[in-house]
Amino acid sequence: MTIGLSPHGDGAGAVWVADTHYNRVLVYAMPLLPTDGSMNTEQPELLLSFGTYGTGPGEFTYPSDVLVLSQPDGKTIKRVYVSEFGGNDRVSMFEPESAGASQGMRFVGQFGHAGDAADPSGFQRPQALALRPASGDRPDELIVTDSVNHRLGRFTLDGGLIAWLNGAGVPGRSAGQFWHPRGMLMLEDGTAMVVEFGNNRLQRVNLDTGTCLGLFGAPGSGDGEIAEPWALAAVGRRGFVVDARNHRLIELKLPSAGVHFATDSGTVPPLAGVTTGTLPTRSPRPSNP
Amino acid sequence: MTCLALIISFDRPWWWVVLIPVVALILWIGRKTLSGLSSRTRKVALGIRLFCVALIIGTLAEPQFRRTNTQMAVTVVLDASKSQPREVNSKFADSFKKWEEQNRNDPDNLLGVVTAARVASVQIIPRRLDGFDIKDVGPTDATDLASGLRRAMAVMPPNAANRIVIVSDGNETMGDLMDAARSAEAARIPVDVLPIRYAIDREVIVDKLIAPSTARPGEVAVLKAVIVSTKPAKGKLSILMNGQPVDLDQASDDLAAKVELVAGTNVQAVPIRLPANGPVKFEAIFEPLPDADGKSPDTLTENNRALAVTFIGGQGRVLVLTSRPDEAKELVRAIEAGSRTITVKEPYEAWSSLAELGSYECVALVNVSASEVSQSQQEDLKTYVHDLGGGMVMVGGDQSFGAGGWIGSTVADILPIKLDPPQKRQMPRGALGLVMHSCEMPNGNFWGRRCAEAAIDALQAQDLVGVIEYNWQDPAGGWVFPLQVVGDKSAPKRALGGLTYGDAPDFQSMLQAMYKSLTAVPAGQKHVIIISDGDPQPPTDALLAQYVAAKISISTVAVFPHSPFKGAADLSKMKRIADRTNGTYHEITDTTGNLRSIPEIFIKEAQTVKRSLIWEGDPLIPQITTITEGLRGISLLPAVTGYVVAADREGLSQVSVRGAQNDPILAQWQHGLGRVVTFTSDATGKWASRWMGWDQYRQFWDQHIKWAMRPASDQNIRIVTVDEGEKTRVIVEAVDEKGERMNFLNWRARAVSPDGVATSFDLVQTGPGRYESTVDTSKAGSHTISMGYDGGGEGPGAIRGAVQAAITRPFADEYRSLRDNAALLEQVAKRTGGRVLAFTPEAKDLWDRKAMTMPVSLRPIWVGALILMLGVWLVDVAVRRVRIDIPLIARSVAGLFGKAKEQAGEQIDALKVAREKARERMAKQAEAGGGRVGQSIGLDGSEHGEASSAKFEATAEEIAYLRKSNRSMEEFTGPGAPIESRGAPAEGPSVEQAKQDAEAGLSRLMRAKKRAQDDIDQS
Repeated sequence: MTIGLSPHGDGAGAVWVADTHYNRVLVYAMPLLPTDGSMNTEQPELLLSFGTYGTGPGEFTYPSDVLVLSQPDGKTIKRVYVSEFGGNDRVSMFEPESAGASQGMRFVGQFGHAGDAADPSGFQRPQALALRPASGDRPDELIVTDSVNHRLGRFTLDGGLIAWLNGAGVPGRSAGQFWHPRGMLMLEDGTAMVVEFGNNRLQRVNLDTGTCLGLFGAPGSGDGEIAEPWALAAVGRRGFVVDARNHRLIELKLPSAGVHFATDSGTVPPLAGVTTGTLPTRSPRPSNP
Repeated sequence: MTCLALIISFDRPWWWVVLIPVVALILWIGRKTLSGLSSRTRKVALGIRLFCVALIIGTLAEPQFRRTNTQMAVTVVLDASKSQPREVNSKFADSFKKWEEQNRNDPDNLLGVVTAARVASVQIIPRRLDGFDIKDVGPTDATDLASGLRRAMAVMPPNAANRIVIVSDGNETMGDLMDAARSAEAARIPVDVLPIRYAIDREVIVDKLIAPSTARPGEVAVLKAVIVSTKPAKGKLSILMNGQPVDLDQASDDLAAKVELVAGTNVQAVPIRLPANGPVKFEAIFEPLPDADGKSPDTLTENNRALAVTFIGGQGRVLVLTSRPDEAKELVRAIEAGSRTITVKEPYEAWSSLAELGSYECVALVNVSASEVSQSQQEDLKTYVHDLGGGMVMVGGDQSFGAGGWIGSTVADILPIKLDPPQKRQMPRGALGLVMHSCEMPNGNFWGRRCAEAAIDALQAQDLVGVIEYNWQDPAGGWVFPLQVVGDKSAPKRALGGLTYGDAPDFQSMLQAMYKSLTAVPAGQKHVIIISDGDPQPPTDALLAQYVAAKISISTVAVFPHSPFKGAADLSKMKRIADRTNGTYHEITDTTGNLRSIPEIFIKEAQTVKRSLIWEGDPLIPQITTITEGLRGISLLPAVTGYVVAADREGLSQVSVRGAQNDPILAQWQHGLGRVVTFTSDATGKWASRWMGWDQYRQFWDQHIKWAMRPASDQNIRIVTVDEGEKTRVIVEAVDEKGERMNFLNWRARAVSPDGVATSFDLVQTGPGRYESTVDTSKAGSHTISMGYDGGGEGPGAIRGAVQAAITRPFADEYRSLRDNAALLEQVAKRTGGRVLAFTPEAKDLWDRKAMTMPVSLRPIWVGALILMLGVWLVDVAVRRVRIDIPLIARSVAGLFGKAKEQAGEQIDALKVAREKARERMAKQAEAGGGRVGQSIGLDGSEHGEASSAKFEATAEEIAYLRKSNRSMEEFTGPGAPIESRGAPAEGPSVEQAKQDAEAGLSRLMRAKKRAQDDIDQS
């Protein structure tokens, strides 16, 4: 799921949902958050739905994540990326059929296919997408967690491979290695916070060098522990980890500010069922010889 | 309030007779023995002694506390059978409430309830009335009032007066109520009765349906429906044949025939053409039509049906079970010889009832695995062979015997071989790996575990099993149970408790670990089963290729995939894994009920490893070790290239052909009434290719089938059944083909009740060619009887045959009663001194204590009397032996305060005075006549001439003093009055000396006085 621009082209925010087992993407208007802290039970408006089951261009097996790229004007959509697994294991790209009113999305291309780590363009369950903003000479990059190949991929916005992190695809527990990386969050400093399903931890990495900048969390169900984490999201400096096996959300203080929502307004009320705390940092393990 | 009348009674009162002479004796003895006592003491001692003796006599008379109880218990025996009008229970409940209200202030009235139907059940044990609720009364298709009465007698409280009340219509169908009443009479328990009176004047009963017990196919049999009607009635008569209605009225659309009944017995004859072979169940149903007044001529509909069974014989029907008809083709052709009727079916749909199975003379299973036959079918096969005399032939293949998962099954018990190969055979074991990913199934945790358990159950002790899943704490590991020997299965099953049902992201890591383990163990057959929704990423082609190279197959079970439609990625992924590795793909996408089939799938898949029980090799000529009827005329068998390894069974089984290492290939035995043959090689070209062209192939199978087959129903055996209430007498008349009566036949007979319970019974010859027995037919429904006979001998001339019959009891005898039997109840009341009550009696009538003997409870108290007697005896001894000197005691007490000293001093002074006087007297005497000092004075004052010694003898004054003071010598000589205790003089050596002097003198004085006292006593 991601927060992006509305397909209406009015600059409003919208919630883009990869509806995995119904093989489609749903786009909802941003739900209003009451300022008095009460719950909003109103069903948000469905703005757009696209995708059907299939293996052909623009069709989906199991879409896993959506990334919305905005135009420089900040009001209209430039491109939408959808990652999927379950046979297709690729990233598809869509653009609005026409600017302005809510039309459908048209398929414009795809990259990657089902394949193991030996295949440079092989994916095995691309699980999450993130945009790494340009910095200096470096242009924008698309970061993909290739979950079952246990690696992160850096791609151009057109799907060209830049580099793999942990490209050999060998799962590991050491710093810099991954084991079923799933959710991911780009931090302002260009580093990435990656949620590892298999290692039951978060790892902050330098996307240029692949160096581990910090390990957070330990397997378990107690304080400071997580089990089978799936995803990570941020609201301001507050990070929220989906601690799946423990049936909870864990709030943590991110090392630096996360992504700001375009429509973020005022105080964000506390979320029900969220455990607030800080995951202990762990010293990076030395790499295996 | 309970009133207690306390009375002491004696169980042996005649002991009191000895009281008077004993009293006299005691009085007489006491005169002597107690004479030394004072008068008062003597009286007290005597009185105590007499009391003690009275207690002894009373104890010997066995005293008892006698208590009369005023409680009364009424136990109601309530007829709960079906024949009772429904309103009886509600009326009884209303009566109960009324009695509860009336007895509110009388807790002495107790009520118990026992229901009587087929069995007697205690509903309420006699207690104070407090609510009423009837729980389970058991089967209600019979009435056993006797059992109810006996149960009521058993629960009566012993300390209350008891009455029993029977509430019933008096129609008993079991037991003997009068016999139970005699028991009540002997126990003096009055039995009141509350008859439920009714008379059904509008009733039609289909009393019986008469059909021939045996017939030939195509024959026209005349069925006779015997219908009894109380009044003329109209209705429709239907006949069902094996559940299907027969068209009795071809002139109309209605299949039923219109009938008009007269009052009394009517017989409706219905001719029916009989179908092909097998047992045929007929059912006659009468449907009443309203009369001219619009009323139904029938009250009870439960008795409007009757059943009959006819066994239609033929040349011999054989049922061949196989899932692969091609494999059985040659065999079927072989056994079709001899005009047999062969029916080939897949196991699952083979038969719907035991009766249908029983219509075949033989069943042949051709390469059928245990997973293809349900448990109830296995039970049917066992009953079919053992109790109905059917024959069974089990033919091998790679899915049969041990390789087919039959080890430990119900059918394994009836085979002439043991399916577990002997230890010495050292067969290679199987290895099974289970990959579990069931977390997203509905009830995934439950079904995942069930599947794994089912698979483990299908394995043998020496097989290997390993269970793996995605473990979030150890994504590289995940072994729930590392691959190892199954053993007694407890360890792997226990390990399943550690399943975490993790959501596996991919199959690769689990299959990699499984591959590593499987390739490290020696096993004949290696197999993996994956259960998943298809979500995880597929394993790499390279890994699957490794599996293929290692000959490890993978079967996949796709359960509730996210995309359940054809071609969906997760399904095709699972299918591909199975196809690639020569496994089997299973798909469960139904949302209702199919989940239950998953454990069966696991069992079947697990049996794949059983292929290790197969011997395959170079062509081997099986050795004939015994010539049997099946091998008659066959001296050499063609070679086989495979068979399922089994072991000999001890006992009467016969192994006639053996393979490598003496393995049994062909075996046979008699099991119960039936026969079983096993052939562990196959009947196809796979293992027995050389058999296909063998010129004796047909002869081989024909002879073995013939040997195993149940003989066709013998038309020369006539069976007659006679209804004797709960039992039926079976009369068999046997004649041979020449019409001669067959004598001295050995019979093996079994009766199978409607609920499938089989019992043996003996047929005893009671006349020329006539044999009889009695069978329990108390349960409603059809009882099947199978009887096999032989006259001894083997071979073509042997006398052998079989016959079947059925006894039907369509409805309980409860529904035959059209009126009450109050007369029986009145007899019971009369015999036991009970009453005939109105239906809703008042409480005061029910708990009427007039003429009731209230119970008395007796409690022996002789122990208490004995203890009391002992105490009194001690008092007796004390009174006589212990002198209680009250004044002395008083002085002693006072002495503590000083007063006693004065009194002691006074006594001493008195004695001193007496001594001085004595000295003076003696001196005078001496002066007067030279008398010697110490001349004694007798007690009468006379002087004695004897000189005294230093002893001091009492003077007359002293004697007088003694007499006056009423004291005896004992006071001076006894232990109770030592001189010292009378008080010592005041301190000072002179006083001490005086005291000592006084003591010395007193001692002499006391001795003298004692002698004087003795003289007095003697006089």
